[in-house]
Amino acid sequence: MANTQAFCTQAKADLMNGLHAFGASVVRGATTKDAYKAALFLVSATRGAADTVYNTTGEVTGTGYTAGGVAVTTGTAPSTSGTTAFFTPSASIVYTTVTLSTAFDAVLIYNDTSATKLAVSVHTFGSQTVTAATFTLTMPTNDATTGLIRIA
Amino acid sequence: MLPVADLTFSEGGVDNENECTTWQEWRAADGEIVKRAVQVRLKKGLTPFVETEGFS
Repeated sequence: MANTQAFCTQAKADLMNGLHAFGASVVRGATTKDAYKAALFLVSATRGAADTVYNTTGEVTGTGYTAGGVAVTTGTAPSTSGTTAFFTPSASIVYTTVTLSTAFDAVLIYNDTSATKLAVSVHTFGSQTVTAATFTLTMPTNDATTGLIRIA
Repeated sequence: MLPVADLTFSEGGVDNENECTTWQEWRAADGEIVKRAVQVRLKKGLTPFVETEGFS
């Protein structure tokens, strides 16, 4: 038996749960999970890995849509399988009866509990517009292969 | 909103490696989109690989 270098699998899930702080951390007011939101962004926006926080630059505007987007349902805690930790919102992200006339193709998931609205991830899809109807973003299967956010 | 009978309905979508998207559209006689609903199913999320390096 030899030693094997590894990023411990449980530590990946622990990162997702805020149990490690390699840098300066924050004082958390409670042990409850944070609230997350999902905001939509125009095709012309430049959202991506460089984003650190949510802001309205390039965000869609339109009837029925509130800046900041809608709540993300986090009913299922992060999990692990094999050596991968993964998390997927437990319900579809739904923008009910909106009119978004300018094409959009991205959603930013961000931490709505954090004071600065820390960015988590950007997910893209085919360019869309919506007129007086509902836009539904259905989540992938929550596993180590397709989960929305994975650390492998 | 015009009576449903006066609207032209169409639907479509795409199914590729990343998403399965469907849309339904209702247009007035002049071509204006009166209603357009969209459902996007993301097939796969993100895998930001975390790698560790050994000492050499």
